[in-house]
Formats: sequence, C-alpha cells, structure tokens
Amino acid sequence: MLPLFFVANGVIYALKIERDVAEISRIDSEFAEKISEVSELNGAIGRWYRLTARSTGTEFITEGGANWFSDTYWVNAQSGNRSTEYGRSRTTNHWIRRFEIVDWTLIVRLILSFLCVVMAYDLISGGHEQGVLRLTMANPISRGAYLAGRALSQFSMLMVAAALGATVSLLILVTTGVLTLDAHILRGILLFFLGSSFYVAAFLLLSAGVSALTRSSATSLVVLMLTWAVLTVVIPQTAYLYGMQTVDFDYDWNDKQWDLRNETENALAQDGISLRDSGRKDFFAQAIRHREAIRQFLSGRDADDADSPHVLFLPDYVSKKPLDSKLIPHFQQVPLSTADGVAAGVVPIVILILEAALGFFFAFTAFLRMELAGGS
Amino acid sequence: MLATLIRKELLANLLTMRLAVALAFTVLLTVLTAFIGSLEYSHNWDLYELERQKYEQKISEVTVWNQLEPMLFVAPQPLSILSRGLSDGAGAHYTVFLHWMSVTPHPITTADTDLMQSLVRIDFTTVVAILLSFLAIVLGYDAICGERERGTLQLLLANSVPRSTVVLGKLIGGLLSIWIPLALVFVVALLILLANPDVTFTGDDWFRLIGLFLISCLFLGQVFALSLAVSACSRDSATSLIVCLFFWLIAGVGILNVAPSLARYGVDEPPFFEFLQQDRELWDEYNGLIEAWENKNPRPDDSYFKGLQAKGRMRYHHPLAYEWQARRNGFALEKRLEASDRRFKIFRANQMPLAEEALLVDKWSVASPMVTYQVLSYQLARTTLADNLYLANNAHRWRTDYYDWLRGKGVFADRSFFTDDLPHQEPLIPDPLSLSPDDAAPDSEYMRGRMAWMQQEEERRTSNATGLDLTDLPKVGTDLRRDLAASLTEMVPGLAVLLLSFGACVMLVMMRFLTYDPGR
Repeated sequence: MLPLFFVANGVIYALKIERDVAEISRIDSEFAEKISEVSELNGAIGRWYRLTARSTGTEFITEGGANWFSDTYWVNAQSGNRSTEYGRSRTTNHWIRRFEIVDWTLIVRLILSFLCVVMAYDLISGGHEQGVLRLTMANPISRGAYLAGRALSQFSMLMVAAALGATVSLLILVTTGVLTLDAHILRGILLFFLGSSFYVAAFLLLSAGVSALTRSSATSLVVLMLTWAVLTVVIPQTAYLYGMQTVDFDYDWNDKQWDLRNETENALAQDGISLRDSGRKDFFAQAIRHREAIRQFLSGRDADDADSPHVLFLPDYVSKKPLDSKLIPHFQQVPLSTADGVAAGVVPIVILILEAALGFFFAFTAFLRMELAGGS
Repeated sequence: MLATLIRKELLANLLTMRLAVALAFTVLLTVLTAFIGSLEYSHNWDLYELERQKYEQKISEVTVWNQLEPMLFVAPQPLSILSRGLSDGAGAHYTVFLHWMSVTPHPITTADTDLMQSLVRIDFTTVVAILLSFLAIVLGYDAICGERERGTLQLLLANSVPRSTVVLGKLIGGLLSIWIPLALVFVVALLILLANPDVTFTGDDWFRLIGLFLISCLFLGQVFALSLAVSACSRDSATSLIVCLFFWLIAGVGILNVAPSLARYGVDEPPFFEFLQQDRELWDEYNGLIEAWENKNPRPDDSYFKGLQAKGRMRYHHPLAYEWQARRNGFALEKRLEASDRRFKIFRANQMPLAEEALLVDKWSVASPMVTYQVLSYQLARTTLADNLYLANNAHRWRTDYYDWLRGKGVFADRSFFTDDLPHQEPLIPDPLSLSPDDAAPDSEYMRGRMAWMQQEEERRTSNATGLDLTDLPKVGTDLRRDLAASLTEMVPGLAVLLLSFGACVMLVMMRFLTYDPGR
C-alpha cells in the first residue's frame, strides 16, 4: 500500500523533473540569446532582465506552491520606470490546480497517518477485549513501559515501511537519471523524516489514547477515523473557506490590497520554507539585490567614460562606449541555507513537537486511569 | 417478515454510538460548508450584478459599433454552492471582441488569485464522498461476518426465513439507515441555502437538486453494498474492516490525488511561447495585408484626421477621412475576423492539451465511486470544465451571429462603425489644404477658436445623446449552459458505472450469503 504511493510519486516526479529541466534550460538559453544582443550601455539600461527561480531539487519531498507561484522576476535598471515585475514562466495548468500532487508530504500526511490509526486503534482496547491485557498487567511490568513498548514497536514498523517506500521512490528517480543525490537532498530527506516521525508519533499516541479511553475497538475506530478525516482532510480544505471570509477583498485592486496579497502569499510561501529550502520571499529579496548589482555594474561602466553625460539611469544619457554583454552580472539563485530554512519553520516544528508530546501525555494518562476489570 | 428484518437492521444501526458520532461530525461540516458557500455565493452575486450594471450603463452610452463589444452573462448558479467544481459559485461573462475569442468564459469573482486557487476547497459533495461514505462502510463491514462472530447469525437462520429475505432485509435496512442521515444533512444544507435571499432556484434547478440527492443515495448505496459484499466474503469483521478501509483510502484519497498528477505529466504540454510565436506571425501577415491595401489606397493627409478620437470613436474629422476609413474598414474588418478565427484555432490547439489533462481526470473517475460521484454532481451543477467549454462554444456561435448581423446591416464599410458624427456635422477644420501652416499650428488663434467651437458642440451632444439601436440584436437563446437533457446525457457513463457496480455488489452479496457458513 505505502510503496504503491511511493512508486506513483517516483514515476510522477521522474516525468515532472524531466519536463522542468527542459523548460528551464529553454527559458535560460532564450534569455541568454537576448542578452547577447546587448552591445552598449544604452541597451543594457533599457531592457528587462529575467531572473528565474531554480527548482528546489526537493520538490518530490514537498512541492508546496512550487507548481503555482510565480517563479520569475523581471527587473530593469532604468530610473523613473516600473522597475520590477513578477510572473510565471513555466507552464502551469490552471484547470487542474484544485488537485494536490503526490509528494512525500502528501503520502505521510494522509496515508501514513491513516495507517497509524489502523494499526493503533485497538492498541489497548484490543487486548482489553480479548482479556489479554489483564493477564499482561498481572506481570511485574509498569503500564507506562507496556504502552511505550507497544507504541514504539508500531512506530518503528511504520517508519521502516515509510523508509522502504521512500527508497523505492528514490531508486526510480535516480535510475531514470533525473535526480543526483547530493548532500543538500540528503539533508532534506533527513529533515523530512525527522518531522515525519513527530507527526507519526502524534497520530499513534492519539490512537492509543482513544483506544484506552473508549475501551472498545469499534467505537475507537469510528472516533479515530472521523478525527483523522477532520484533521487531515477537512481542516486543511476549510482553510480556503476561512481565508475567503476573513480577508476582505475589493474587486478593484488598489495598493493596499496588493500589499495584503503579497503579504499573504509570502506567509504561505514561508510555510513551505522549512523543507522546501528556497522560500519565495528569499528569492524575491535576491532578485531585488541583483537589480542593485546590475545598476552598480552599469554605473561603474558609465563612470569610466569621461564623455558620458552621466545621467543615470536613463537610456541615451549614458556612455555610448561598446559593452561586452558577457560582463553583465549573471543571476544565480542562492538556495536558502538549511539553518535559515529550519529557522523559518520553527513555529510549525515546535507545534509538531508539542502535538507529539501532548499525544504522549494523553495516551499515558488515558491508559493509567483505565479500569481493567470487566474485559470479556 | 421482510419488514421485521428491515426494522431490526434499522434500529440496530440508528441507535448506535458510532452513528451518533459520525452524524454529529457530518452535520457540523455540512452546516459549515453550506453556510460559507452561501456567503461566498452572495458575494459573487453582488459582483455579478455590479458587472451587469456597468455593462448596461456602458451600452446605453455607446454611440458607435466599434465600441459596443457585447457581453454575455451567466449568473452564479446556486447549485454550485453544494457542488463547486470549477466555478466556485461565481458568475461568468463572455465578451465579444473583434480580435480575440477566449477558450472559456471569464469568471466574475475575486477569488481567482494564484494563491487561493492552490488551496483545495470543500463542499457538500466532499462531505458525502468522504464522511458519509465512511459511515456507509462502518454500517456495512460487520453486517454479516459480525453476526457470525457474535453467533447471532446461526440463531437468525434457524428461523423459517429464506436466506434471500434475510440478506434483502440487511441490504434494505442498511440502505435506509444511511439514506436517513443523508436526507437529514441534505435538508440542512438546503435550508441554509434557502435562507439566503440571493438564492433562487428555478424549476430546472429543483430537478437538478433532486438529481443530486438521488445520485448521493445511489453512491452511498453502492459503497454500502460494497462493504456488505466484503463482509459476506470474509470470516471475521477485523479483516473485512481493513479491506473496506483500504478501499476507501485508495478510492477516496488515492485516486483523487494520483490521477491528476499522472494526467499532468503524462500528457505533453505545448509551451505557451509556441502560441506567441504563431500569433506574432499571424498578425505580421495581417499587418502586411493592410499595408498593401494602404499602399494601393493612400491615406489622406494627416490634417484630414484632426478631431476627437476616443477608444475607437472619431468625431469632427473631415468627410474625406471618414470616407477613407470606411473603405479601409470594409477591407480590414473581414481580414481581422478571419485572423481572430485563426488565432483562436492556434490558441485552442495550444491550450487543449492542458484541458485534456483536466478532462482525463474526469474520465478516469470511473475507477473510484467517490470520484465518479463528485464528477457526476459537478455535471449536474454544470461546474465541470466540459461545461465551461460548452458554454464558450455557445458564446462563440453567438459571436458569429453578431458579426453576421453587423455585416448584414452594412456597418463594416460604413462610417457609423467608428463615428457618430451626423452626415452634415461640420468638421473641426473645414478645408485643411487651404489652411496656412501658421493657422494649422495647435496653438494658433484659428485653432484655438475651432477648439472652443468643438467643446461647445461636445456639450450640446452630451445633453441630447442617442445610443445605438440594439432592438434587433441577435437573441442569445434561453440559456448558454447545457439543458437538463444534455447534462443527463453527459452523465450516462458515470451513472452506468455506479449502477452496474451497485448491481454487481448486490449480486455478490446475494450469492455469497446463500452459501455462507454461519458457524463460529
């Protein structure tokens, strides 16, 4: 079951990465050709520079908004003009964006959590119903140790299954030649599994707690399945409805709403930052810095020419000397460092750890206070 | 006897804790989705009204055909609150341009920002497909093997009741116990919708609503019958449950997420720049034709074109300019329409593979009852992409009618296409060629005097403006959308799959149960 989804993930991303690589290289070479036409400062000032965000390389782990968000910044050096513009260069199919893509996060978020519930709904109640629990507790073994032992065995089983699945997916990606494992990707995988383990632990312990609380496997299962559906499907989907209602939106754009929109988009982009390693916000900041670099380069060139009227940055009022287009600074997006990525994700990570801890206390107290008498 | 059995099943199902818990969740979510959907609908309705008013205002002020650009409107559909699909309860408009035809109508909503679109939405059909289907599984998974485990099946069969009656009782009792909660949440959702004064259901809508309820019943019945079949095929309820739940997970969550991704990367997407390239060539060709015509029919001197010019409307130009412009239009507009038709074709060729990806998702839906059900409800609510394309096709047909009508009126080669000057209207400069260069300068005393005269004329015009005569404008027909019969035709494959699989499951249950060993 789990490997099935990972295989799907491997196949989908093998196709996707191949397409992405082709598209990015086409965009890049097209732009390089345009830039090579520049022969003097004048042309360099009047034109738009296309700055394209790289693929994060870890999109098969977590896609975030990478499929939909704008990935290109156009900047120009000219003064008194609109200096930036952003949009999307790569093909996006807007007709199917109501669907999610099968990345590892989706598999863990939906499938693994579901398996947690299925494995652990009768963790306590099952033993209780069969009468085994009373026998076990008659031995000199503390309830805490019993709970920890059972939960830990389930936990390690699930994590091993997930690791196996992930290996299958990686194998597909590596053998098709679209992915080369490097330190950066391995770090991403490691972080992903660290986060996932807290997530799995939280669901397992929640299931164990409910199992102890209800004392009946059937009731426990119904309660857990509904909780699962609400936590993983319903609440995330309601985010849209909630967003629609809480943020007031006027039909005609104005500056304030543009700000608001950018702010929300950035906030959302940040959510994906911790594992997606290249936040959109950071890319935009880099793009703005690159514009400054181009301007500095151009003003330096202009200063070298004594005949220039030195009216920066207006075409026709700068140096007319020839310019080698290869010297214009080339934009290369710097991926966000792991430290920055983790720092940006601190809040969700802390919440995840807290949830796992909460699950632990819930399961523990529920089991400790459980009345063992009366099992069939 | 059957009635007794059904009553027993019904009571056993309805009076359980699990049903109460599931029902509480379902009602809560239904209320939430219907309420927020209804608020969103009102918001979209206001936008739609606003847009219409703007349009009415605009066409009442338009005085030349060039500026008309008629718009076709589609009101927000109340049914799409329950079954969002692609439309999200928004209205749409289709604007007729000379140079451009869009592939789908333009939604009138504030919610189509990149950001909001990437969040998945939830509606009544999601609640049915995810939560109520789960309830159907919970009711069915141990209906047969559970009774065997408890030993009650042996007791039941010891009575002089045919096995077929027993299993029929289980089936009907189970179906009723899942349909009762469904009816409850359906009524709750409907009441919330009806409480919104913006929501008005037409007769057609009521039929579609009933249809939505019926396919919800059929879908839940199918899931229940399936879980009953699994129950009849297994010896213990734990196995049955695991099998059912995995089916639910794969069919409900798996296919919904895997199919679109595979569709997206399995179909080749022609890059957009290819269209841009072809488009550029197309317009180069068009401009070449116009240039050639202008070389043969030289444009009068610029001084004949002095006057007011606003968004394709000319005033106070010299009659010579009007005569030339009308002749040019007679040639150029036909070419332009041809070019825009060709442009639409290449744009469509570029975009259809993308649409094909989306349509594939709908076609593959037959693999999962959950997705089939949702696609069927979108088809009923007319919110699928296919419905949008259908709508646009109708709009394109109207566009052709509209230009045929204009052509029939002889407007293309007539000055009424671009000017509302009356035939005896004096031009800004009566005879440009007799004017000395000094007088023709913009700030000369002569020109200032003429400008003042023009201002006066403008004021006089605004006080008694007459719009275009649009009384015999081609009619749009009753509705741009599919009628009920067309929607039902569209739904046939999905319905057939649901019905057949329901029938197959019932048959399986019957056959298995007749030889089922009730022993512990």
